[in-house]
Order: sequence, then structure tokens, then C-alpha cells
Amino acid sequence: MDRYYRKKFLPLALPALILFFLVIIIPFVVGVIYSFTGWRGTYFAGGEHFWEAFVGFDNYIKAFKSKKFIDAFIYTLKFTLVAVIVINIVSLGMSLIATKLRHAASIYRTIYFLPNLLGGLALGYIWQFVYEIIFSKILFAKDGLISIPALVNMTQDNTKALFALVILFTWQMAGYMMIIYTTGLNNIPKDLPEAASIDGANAWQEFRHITVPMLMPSFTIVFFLTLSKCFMLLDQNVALTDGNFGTRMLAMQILRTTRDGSPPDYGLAQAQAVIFFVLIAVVSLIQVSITSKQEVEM
Amino acid sequence: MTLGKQKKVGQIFSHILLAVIALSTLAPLVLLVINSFKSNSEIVDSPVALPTEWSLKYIISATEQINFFKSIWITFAITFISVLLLVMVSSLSAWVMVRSKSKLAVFMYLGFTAAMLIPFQSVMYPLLDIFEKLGLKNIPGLIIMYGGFGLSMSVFLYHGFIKSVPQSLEEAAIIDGANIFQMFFKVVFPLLKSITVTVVVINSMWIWNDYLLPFLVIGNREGVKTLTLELYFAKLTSGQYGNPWELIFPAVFVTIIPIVILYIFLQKYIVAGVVDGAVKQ
Amino acid sequence: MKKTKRILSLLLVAVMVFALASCGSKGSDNSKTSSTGSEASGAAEKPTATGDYDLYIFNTKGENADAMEAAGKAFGEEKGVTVKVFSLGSGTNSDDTLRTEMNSKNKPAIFSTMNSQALVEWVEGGFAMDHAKATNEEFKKLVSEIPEGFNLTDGTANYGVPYNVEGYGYIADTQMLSDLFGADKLDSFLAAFKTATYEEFEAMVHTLEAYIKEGTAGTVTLSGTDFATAAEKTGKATSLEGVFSVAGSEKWTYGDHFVNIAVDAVFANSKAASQATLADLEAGKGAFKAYAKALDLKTANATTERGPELINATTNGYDPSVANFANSKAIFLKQGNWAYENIKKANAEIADNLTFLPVKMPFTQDDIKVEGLTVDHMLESIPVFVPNYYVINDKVSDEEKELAQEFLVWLNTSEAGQKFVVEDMAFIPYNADPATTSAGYSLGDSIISYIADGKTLTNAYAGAPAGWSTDTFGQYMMENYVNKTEWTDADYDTIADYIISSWAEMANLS
Repeated sequence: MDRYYRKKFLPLALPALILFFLVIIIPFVVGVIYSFTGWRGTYFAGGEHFWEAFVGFDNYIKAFKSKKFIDAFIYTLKFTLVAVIVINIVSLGMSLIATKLRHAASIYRTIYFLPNLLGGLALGYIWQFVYEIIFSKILFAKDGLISIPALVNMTQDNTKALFALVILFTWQMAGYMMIIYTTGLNNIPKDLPEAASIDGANAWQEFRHITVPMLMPSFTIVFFLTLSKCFMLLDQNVALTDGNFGTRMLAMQILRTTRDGSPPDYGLAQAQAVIFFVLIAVVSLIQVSITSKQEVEM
Repeated sequence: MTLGKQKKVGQIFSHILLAVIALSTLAPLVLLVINSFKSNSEIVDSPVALPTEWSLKYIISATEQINFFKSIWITFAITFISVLLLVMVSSLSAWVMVRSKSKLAVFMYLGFTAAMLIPFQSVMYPLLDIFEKLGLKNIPGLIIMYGGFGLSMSVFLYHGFIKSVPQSLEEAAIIDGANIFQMFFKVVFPLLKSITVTVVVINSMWIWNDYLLPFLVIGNREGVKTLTLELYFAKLTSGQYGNPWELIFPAVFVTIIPIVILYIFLQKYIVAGVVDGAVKQ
Repeated sequence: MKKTKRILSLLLVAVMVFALASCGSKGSDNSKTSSTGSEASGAAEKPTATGDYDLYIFNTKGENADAMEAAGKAFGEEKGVTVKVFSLGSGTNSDDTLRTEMNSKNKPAIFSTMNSQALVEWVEGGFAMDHAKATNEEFKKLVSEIPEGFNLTDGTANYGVPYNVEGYGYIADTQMLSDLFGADKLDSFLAAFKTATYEEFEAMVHTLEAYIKEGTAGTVTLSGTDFATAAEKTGKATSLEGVFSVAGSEKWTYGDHFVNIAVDAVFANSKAASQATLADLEAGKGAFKAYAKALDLKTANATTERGPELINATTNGYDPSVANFANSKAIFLKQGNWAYENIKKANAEIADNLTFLPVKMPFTQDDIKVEGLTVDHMLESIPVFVPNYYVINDKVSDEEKELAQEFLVWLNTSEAGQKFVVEDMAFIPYNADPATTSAGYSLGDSIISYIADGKTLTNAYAGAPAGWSTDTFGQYMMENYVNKTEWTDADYDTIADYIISSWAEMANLS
């Protein structure tokens, strides 16, 4: 039987392979090659063809020497760290509460998921308005509802803007992640918590020793999704602060590198993109291997 | 009794908490709706007040500026064809990969999975360069790109699902003399309904809302812009350097109406699709 | 096997065809890409195969899209050729699109670039045609007559033909000035303002600020002449909230145009600025400090109090700043003639009363490093510069290059071409004769009068390293000063030092 399928393998898998090579693999390989050249977008500095324009590791050295790139690198890491923690706490908390409800849990779920359907750019514009007008002038201004200076002009400060982005992204993602956690929670056999409470375990012990281990598969998924989405955040970054006050993240840095100088340094942008790939691959692989090891141990 | 009462208090408390979160989730959207009926100065001066008159003026003018009825059709066509392409290509290839069990199939599967870690930025410029040279920097090219970028995830989802689909039915079909296409579309594909919903939902969501790829491929070419592009350029051009809120709010408002309506009717499938997709990973 | 392949390819083709049919045909009617003279091509995404045009013009100014297309058509009819004009929407970054077109088989024969920094890419890539290689005699004559300061150069050769000229300064509403100082004093006020010293200007700002905020009438002295404010605010003066309307969130307003006045004091033009040495920059410290002082005065007396509020994009962006000025909340708005349409949109009734006044900075003769340039000239002049240039693409066929030269000659010298430039594009031609040219609108005519008087400055800042002005220096000012309430003398030094160090760093000077 396997032989029957093997005979059909190539023709059936061919369209997928063509798409995959055309859109992902070839551009990726070309991109890695170009990152070692003086590519300028419309030509190669130093020659007609890319093989005449090799510059060795120059673009990589330039990238690591560039303050903008290093700043974006650090800012991306900071944002990802904070956002992943916040999104997970909020969404797990919401789903823990919601699963205990007897009524209406699905209505909440419907509402929380709603922001996820909307595009990042549109959301960015709305939130820019919320921060600049609602927060800064109405709610938290000196003569506003309650004066909280930390929440005023959040788009005008490196640290405040980080949290402004975290709030926006949590608002957008928490409903999605909550659904995944809720599914995980519903998959925990009902008799386990009951047995625990008969044994005299309190709520925290129950959570720590039953819920968390049983939820490990959900943790793996949610961490993977939030990590990669945070790393690659772009639209919201552009719409909210446009990189002012040192808030450029890596995705935007790569996009803007070609506008930072003249002639446009596409080779440098490409080198940064390759570094970006390595970063994401390493972090994701470490994360998946850690969390799935936890699953196995359980 | 007391336990029951305690539980009841707990329930009420939970409801209050969740309702507050729900309200803060909806607040920016409510803000969006009420400000879609106001002039620029009214928006900036009294952003949380209800509009003095519920005139559709700004919504109509925003609809015109973003060429709503044309761009929504373009966006729909792009999304629909891309998703169709993705479903066909990825289900077929995932199926044959699972069934053939060859080393090549395993290798391919690993390749597809690993590619999920490639960020868009690291293929962006060469991709555009190559598609430009192929004469594909246009809407068909955009659809092919979506086909490529959505492939990894879709193959991954189908692959995981098909592994649990019994092979016996297919063997029976072959004995009945069906060719491989008849077999796939008549026997296998109907069994994949639930995961197909997932693939459709997940891909439609990002393709519909995607901004960067259409921006790079289509840019500001007149008459072929998607909704997100129209929104972006309308903002850029109408306030050359500022924020024309009386355009942004109603424009964003009209662009999300179709999605919200669709969501309200199909939310059961959408939510289920998202969960299946995530949990199957 | 064969059959499956066939079905699959059919499926793919069907999908593609559907995509083309559904989107391509829908898009064609509204396209700004058009081939005139011959049958317009059907597909909108891309001008179809080679050979459906004789001359391809890539126009970056979205504002004149329609006029440029008409000009292309008129030229095409006159010469019996097909001209294709592609225009980008206004406010769009054209670089990416232009690069795309340059990568394609059908490269534009005439494209545009903003300044010598942006030119580097096209010279290095072999796209920009050196005017020395021109083949058309009339074109050679045309480019030889471009004034020195309006040339687009990489330091050794010339490449560009100017689109037009623009200018900027403090825009004032003459009706407002009449309400402040009396209608009979208007002309003498305008004349006295132009020649006034910075100290007189500064005193005037403080007097007016007190008049606006406390209602205390006062007298301002300009060029030695006294002008008394009306005892009680009347007319437009009643709605005043500050002396200046400032777009604090727009980095380019102080990172490009405002700082240019100081750069003009140090470098004769953008070419000189692009060849700056570290010593040149350090010698400019006095002028850069003068910039900081003038910006301090302007932002401290704005309609919005200087601080975080001033860089709020929602309330102090470009549009709000124009609206504040148009609605008589401020006396002065530092902008260029490009703001005319925006002002008119916000309040049409003041559009005819607008005039430019020079931006003043406290220079001493020691601060000015350009030979022959005096403090008086700096006080009385406004920058007039070329915002965009036409460049001919060296990589198109010789026939098309020849046609491109003919087109630029036709556009800039023939009566029909000039009609498109002046009337339809509402441009001030770079080669305009101020005695006979009328822009047809208040701010344009104001610029022409400065040209006629010889009271113009250049745009030397365009010679700064790429990415320096708005994205580095402007950003620094926005993040550190425009949002800060109090400025000290030490701040002036810091700002001047930052100009020198950031410029030197980006230009790799040591």
C-alpha cells in the first residue's frame, strides 16, 4: 500500500514544493547570500553581479556596531519578556475564573476574542488616540479623573511606551490565549481536583500540583505563539510610536534600515534579518524543548 | 448552606471581574463607534462624549476615500483565492506525506515545520526581487506569496490530523477502482472537514488583515489596493503629516464591520478553529 | 501521472486567471498609470509589455499627477509619440516604488529625486545621466542656464533639472497684523519687520505674548520705528492664544527647515555642506547656538505650552498647527508655500491675505562663515530652494533618452509647457522671470517678490549626511527639548555641540 502512495508522492506534493521553494527557500538562501554583499536594492556596490560585490562579514560587523540595531535588539527582548509574562498571567487568570462560572462563560469568551480579529494597523491608530487623548487628557492628567503621571504621555517615553505596547498587545492577544487555556483546563479530568480537595489540598496547592502540570501542553502552545508574535511585532509598533524615543523593534529596524542612509543599504538590512532569524529560531527551539520536557516528565 | 452561599458570592464576584475586563476590552471599540460620527475638532475636544448628531457624513466620506466597495471586494478575492489555494495544496501534500511514509516525506515535513521559524523580514527583500524579475509583482504574485507563507502552518495542521484518519477507507476505494483524485476528494477530504475549518479560519484572519505584504507588492497602485492599504494611504494622504481622526475613525469602523458581522454569525466555528489549530500543534 | 499533473496545472491556472480577471479588470478605470496617445492598456497593476510607449515619466509629486499626465499627453500629441506618466499618491514614500521600476525591464526614462543625498544611489548604480553626456543641443543649453545654486550635483557632475522652487518663512495673515497695529500701519510694519534686528524681533515677541496673555497693550520697535498695539484686542486679535503656531510633533519642521537657516550661515549651499570638514562644522557653533536661541523663543511663545503636550501628534501635529494659524489662534506659522492649500482648506477667507516674513536668528557677523554673506541679508531673506529634480535615466535606449531631453526642454521653455507648470501644477518655475511671472496665489507671489528683491537663502542643510536632519537631529530635539519646559544657556551649547558631533559622526569626519 505504501508503494502505491509513494508512486503518487511527487505529483501530489509538487505544488506544495514549488510554492515552498519559490516563496520561502529560494528567497531565504538568496537573502543569506546577499547579506554578504554590498546589495543596494537596484544594483550591487562594486560590480554588475552579486559575486563581484562580496564584502565578507562586513554587514554583520556593521549591524552589531550599529547603535540603532543593538537598541532595537534589546528593546525587542525587553518587550517580549514583559509581554509574554503579562499576556500569560492575564489570559490564564481569565480562563481560571471563567471555567468556574456556571453561566455566560461563552459570552465573555466571544468578547475577549474580538480584538484578535482586527488588523494591527487599525488597532494601533485607535490606541494611539486612547493614549494621547483619553489617557493623557481625560483620565490620568493632573486635572483629570485621577492623576497618574505614569499613564500620561505614554507614547513619549522609552519605558512608558514599552508598557503602552504591552497593554495594547495584551488587549489584543489575551482572548485568543484564554481560549487555548480554557480548552486545556476543560481537558483536566474532573475527578482530579475533587480528589485533591478531599485530601485537604488548598486552592493554591491544587493549582500548583494539579492544574499546572496538567496544563503543560497548553503552556507549550501559548508560549510558542506569544513568543514568536511578540518578536515579530511590527504593525502596532509602527502605528503607535513609529519608533520614536528609541522604541524601534527589530522587525521595524530591518524595514527602516533601507531608509536610514543613502544609498540604501539592503545588504545591511539583510544581515540584520539573518540575525533576526537566528534569534527567533534559537529562542523558539529552547522554549519548545524546555516546555515539552516538562510535559514528558509529568 | 454556607458553602453554597460562599460559592454564590464567588460566582457573583467572578462575574463582576470578568464583566469589567469585557468592558475594558470593548471600550476602545465603543470609542471607535462614537467617534465615527464626529468632526475632527469634536473628536479631539470631547472624545468620550456621544456625538451631537448621528450624521453619517463622515462614514460616507471615509467609505469613498478608501474606495470601500472596491477594496473590500479585492481583499475578499485575494483572501478567498489564497485560502482556496492553501487548502488544496496543503491538504493534498500533507495527505500524501503521511501515507507514503518515505524518508523523503519525513524530510519534507521537517522542512515545512522548521520554516515556521523563518521571520518574514529575512525573506522579504529577496522575495520581492525574485518576484519582480518573474513579473509577479501584482495580485496573482501576492496570492502565490500567501500560498507560500501559509503553507508551513497548514501542512503542519493537516499532517497532524491525517495521521489519526484510518487508511482502510482509502484501500476500499482503490479496490473499487477509483483514481487517486476521486479517492482524495470523495473519501479523504470530507473526513478533514474540522481541520479544514481551522486552516480556513487561521489563514483568512491574517490574510484579510495583512498590511506589509500588500504594501510591498502592490504599494500605492490605484484601484488594486486592499482594505488595509487603502486605510494606510488614506491616513497618509489626507493629513499629510498629522492625524485626520475624522477620517481614521470612520474608516477603521467600516473596515471592521464585515469582520465583526461574520464573527458574530460564525463565532462557534471561528473559536473552534482557533483552538483546534493551536491544540494540534 | 500525466493526468494528475495536467489537472493540477489546470487548477493552478484557473486560480490565477480568476485572480487576474476579478482584480485586474476592476482596477483599471481609476489608475493613474496611463498610456496616452495609444489605446490604454487593460491591466492596472502593471503597464504591460515593452513597446506600448515611447517615453516613460516617473513623477513623485502626487499633487500634480493630473497636470503631469496632461502635459505628457500634450507633448505626445505634438511629437506624435506615446508618453506614459506614472504618479504616486501624495505623501507617499516613492523610493521603494522607484526602485521596483528601476529593477524592471521597463525603466522610467525620466525619474525624480529630491537632493544630492538621494542622488548617490542613482549615480552609483549607473542610472542618473550626467548632463555632459547630453545629446540634444537645446537640452545642453537648458541645463547650462540652470543657476548654480539650483543644480543637482554629486560634486563633480550635474544631473538634475529642477521641478520648481519653493520657499518658507513665517507665514502671517495681513488682516491679523492690521487688527493688531492698525490697517494704515500695515505696509510700514511689513517693511520694518523685514529689516528688523533679532533683538527687536525678540522684544516684539515678548510684547505680543503679554498682549495676548494679559491683555496689556504695548509698543514694539522694528527697524527703529514704533508700532503701538491697539489698546483693546479687536477683530482677529481676540481669538489669539499665542504668538507662534508650532507643529511640535513634526520633527522636520525644526530638524530640516528651521535649522537650515543656521546651516545657511555656515555653508553657501548644499554642495558646500556635503563637503564639510570637522573644522567647518566647529566653526559653525555660533550659528548653531543662534538656531537654538531662536527655536527657544518660538516654542516658548507657542499656542501650546512647551512640554510633553507640544509633541502630542494628535493635538500638535501638522494639521492642528495649520488649523490653529488659519483660525487666528496664532500670529505666525513657520511653513512653506506648500501649506497654502492646507490653510485655505482650514479657513478660505484668509488665503488671499497671506505673506511670508523672514525667520530671524541672533547671528553676529562672526557666526557667518559664508563669504560675502551679511547679517542684514540673513535677517531679510527667506530660503528659496528646489524640492525635486527630474533626472534622465542612463539605462534606457538612446531614442528614449533623446525624447526625454526634448520633453524637459519643452516643459521648461515652450509656452505650452510653461502653461502646465505655472497654471496646472501651480508651480513657481525655477527659471521664472520675477518681473513677468505671477504665481496666482498669495504665498507664491510673496516668494516671487523675495526672488525679485534678491533676498533669498539656499537649502544648505540638504548637504548634510543622509538621515541626519529629521531622523537624527530632529528626533533628538523632539525627544529632549521640544518636550521640555525650561531651556537654559547650557542647553544652547549642548544643542550646538550635538549638531556638530552627530553630523560629523554620520559623515565619518574626525
